[in-house]
Amino acid sequence: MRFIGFKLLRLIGVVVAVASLTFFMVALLPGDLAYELAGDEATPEQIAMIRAELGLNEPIGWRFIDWVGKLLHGDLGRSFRSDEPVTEAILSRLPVTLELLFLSQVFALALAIPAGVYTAYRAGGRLDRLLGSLGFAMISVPVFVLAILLIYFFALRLGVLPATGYEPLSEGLWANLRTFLLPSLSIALVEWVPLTRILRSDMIATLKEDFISMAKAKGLPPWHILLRHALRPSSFTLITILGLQIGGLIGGALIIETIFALPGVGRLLINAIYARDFMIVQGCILFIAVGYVAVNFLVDMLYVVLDPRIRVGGKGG
Amino acid sequence: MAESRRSRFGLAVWLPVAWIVFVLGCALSADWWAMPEADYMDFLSQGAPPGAVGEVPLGGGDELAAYTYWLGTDTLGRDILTRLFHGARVSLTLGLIAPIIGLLVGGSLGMAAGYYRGWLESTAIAVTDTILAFPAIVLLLAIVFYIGGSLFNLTLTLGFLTVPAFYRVARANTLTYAEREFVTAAKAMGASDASILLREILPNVFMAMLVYALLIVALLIVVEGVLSFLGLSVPNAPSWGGMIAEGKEYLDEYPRLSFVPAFVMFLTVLSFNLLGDRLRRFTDARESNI
Amino acid sequence: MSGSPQDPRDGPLLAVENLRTHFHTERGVVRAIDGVSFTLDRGRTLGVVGESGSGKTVLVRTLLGLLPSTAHVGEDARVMFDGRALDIRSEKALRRVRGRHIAMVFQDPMTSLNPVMTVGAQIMESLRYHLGMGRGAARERAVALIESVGIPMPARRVDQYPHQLSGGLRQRIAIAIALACEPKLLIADEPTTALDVTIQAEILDLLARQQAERHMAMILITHDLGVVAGRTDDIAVMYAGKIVERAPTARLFTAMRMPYTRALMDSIPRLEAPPNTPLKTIGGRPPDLIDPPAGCRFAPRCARADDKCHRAEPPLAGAEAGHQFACWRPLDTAEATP
Repeated sequence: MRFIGFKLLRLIGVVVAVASLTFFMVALLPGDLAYELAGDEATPEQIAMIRAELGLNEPIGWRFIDWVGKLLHGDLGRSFRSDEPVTEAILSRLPVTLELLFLSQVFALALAIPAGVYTAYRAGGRLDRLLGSLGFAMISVPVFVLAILLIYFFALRLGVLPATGYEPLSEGLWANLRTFLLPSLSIALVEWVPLTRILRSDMIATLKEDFISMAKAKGLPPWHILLRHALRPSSFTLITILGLQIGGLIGGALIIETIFALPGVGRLLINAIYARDFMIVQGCILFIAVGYVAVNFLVDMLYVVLDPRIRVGGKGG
Repeated sequence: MAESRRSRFGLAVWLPVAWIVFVLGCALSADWWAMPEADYMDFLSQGAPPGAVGEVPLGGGDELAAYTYWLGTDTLGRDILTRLFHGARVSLTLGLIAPIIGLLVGGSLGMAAGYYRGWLESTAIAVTDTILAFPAIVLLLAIVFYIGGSLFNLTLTLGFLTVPAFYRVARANTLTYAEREFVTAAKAMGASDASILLREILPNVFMAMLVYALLIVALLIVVEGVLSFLGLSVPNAPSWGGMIAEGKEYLDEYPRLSFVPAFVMFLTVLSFNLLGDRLRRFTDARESNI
Repeated sequence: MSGSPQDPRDGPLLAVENLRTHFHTERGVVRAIDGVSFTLDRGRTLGVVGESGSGKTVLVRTLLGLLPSTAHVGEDARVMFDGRALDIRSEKALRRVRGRHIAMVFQDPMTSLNPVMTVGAQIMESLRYHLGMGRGAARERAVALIESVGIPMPARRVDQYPHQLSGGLRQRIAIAIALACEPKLLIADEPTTALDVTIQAEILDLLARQQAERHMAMILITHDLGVVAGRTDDIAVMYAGKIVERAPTARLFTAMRMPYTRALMDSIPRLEAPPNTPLKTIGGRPPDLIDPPAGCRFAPRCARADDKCHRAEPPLAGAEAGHQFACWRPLDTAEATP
């Protein structure tokens, strides 16, 4: 329990640090924010109005407290282009990003688990070496290049999958999944490599343990031993890595959403950067950073659930 | 056993090194060759295939001379080869200089923390963990948005972002070495902390950091590619990512516009990854012979 | 010894002929077992005794095919189990007997049980895979098995994890797993070495009881002569990859012929000896199995060795009443009595 408390404290600490950093980065910037937001043709009155609206005339201490107050209410301000509340803009686009992240991980695991298990079982064999080289080459390919390759082959040459566009679930499950297939594959085809390596190395270590010999002595077939006995103890590091990779996945998702025109949080952020929509950028950055820390926290908790030695507190010995 | 190690040290090391030297050479010498400016648009040779000939002003003057577009031109008539050369500059500057910053700062911090321990270590751990708690891409985008993506800003930011990683590597390695006997022996002989750090620990830690640095270079080239793909990297300069992004619009008719720079980027990243990997195996093998 | 009997049930349960196992290592080929032959009848217990490195564990692992990939089993080995030939070099053939007809109990129950599976699940696994039992029936049977190995409150224990049990209880679970499918042969590889001395006797008694009840054959491997003293029908003494003496238990203790066996016996500390009696050890070290000496492998350490012992290897030859030994200069009856 102390363990959880400590992690929670750390979570809160990082969130506070992120929030403060985001605020002060903007507040202490050179240049006049109001002027920038108003544009080149603004009159002094318009600029003054914006200043008043943003509360830029208040002392910085007040502004910070005010900002924190709004944050705790979930108010991240309003976009200057569309006047949409930032929180709403983010939350309405969150499901798309989550679906993309989820499907990417599913595909990555679907590739990594069989590859990791098999190459651990037949370590040193031909397939092992082939997959090793292939994996090495694939992590040298940036995600966006992979995306373009996939678009070229599947959308342009073969025409079986859409290059861009998004169909919500309301249009039907397959229509929805179709639009996510290439995007999540782009990410998964890079993500599977470190996952496979970790799983393989853990499995090789596990397969040397005595209880595997015992399972073999019980006459159980290899696939049963691999999946039922060896996989679970070997998956702890895998789970941790999955969680740690979320950070990289977020970056990948940003680009992928932009390339494939998926209306997710990433695309919102990128477009806001182009349009210099300051409120949305700030809101997105805060949201993503906090989300990332929270996910890491959850991964830590998942670890506890999976290893009964921690959960059921051993008495034996 | 030693035989296979030596032969593996052969081609898998020299090919990447050769490629990297080649790219470096192109980047450095970009202005010296008889090539058109990177943004000169030859309206008569738009979308020209590789090997086409056009008339371009060479050598800074205004008269046109015949020139072979070895890799063709893009839809605006700009020479792809020239743009690749110039794009290499941005990628390699960021890719090579930022890790050096990280290595120097992170490495020294790490070595100090691992050697002296105490409050220095605890503070550094807290700070680096906080930095690592951010997804790096987000931090990068924030900087680009607020301060702008000039080469200087980007190099500094990326260098800063790599400090925690180098810190960890340096600290972990220092911890293992600081406990070893040859350090105790040096202390007993009256060597000062500084000289121990420099003479005994640094050479060993440096290898580990070099391995890591090579992998970081590969990563940063990709990161720069991503930024320039999004149009957020150094403005007004050709870049590999930017070329890929431009080519994406014409993927159907002129796929090579994207794929040629993509392939060049891939080879460069692969080369650094291979070098880092080989070097790691070499140091691992050396370690295990102790 | 390995003739095919008319009715499979008449002959020995297990007949092993000329078993050889080599390991390929960096330094060379280690001949871990080098020509081992023996038989075992149904319902009988064979104790296999030897120092570490004598090959006793490699022997049983070869029989069940549990060797690492660097191992190489000699082609001219012949194994007959339950009246049929068993190809110990074929994974398929071995998988048919493992767990179902031949079961094994390992030395250390902490490492031989899967730490993230309940003990009940580990028992049920065999039942469901080999006997095709449904989940409910398998669970009932698992509880019954846990009870039969002397663990109280079996219904509670069945859902516990190995780390929640003491060492002795864990080994009982391992035995329950081995007995689950009613095997004809149980191999126990140093089953008590990792346990407290007080628990050792209990576990050995449990094994003996189960064996008698089920009319099971058993191979009991140990380095400790004391363990096999009252609990086995026959004993085989191994040294440097070969069996050097084999006899019914009583005969071995009263009429041993091999000097090595004598030396083993002597090195057991005795309660009756006066305090501060120095422990007797066998001088020297076991031979290097990559390049074993010509002649008798024990000769370099044997007080009775002569020229012939160093030159020629004595065969394992039978004397009376099932007693075999490999020695040019065996002890005579007077010297043999301890």
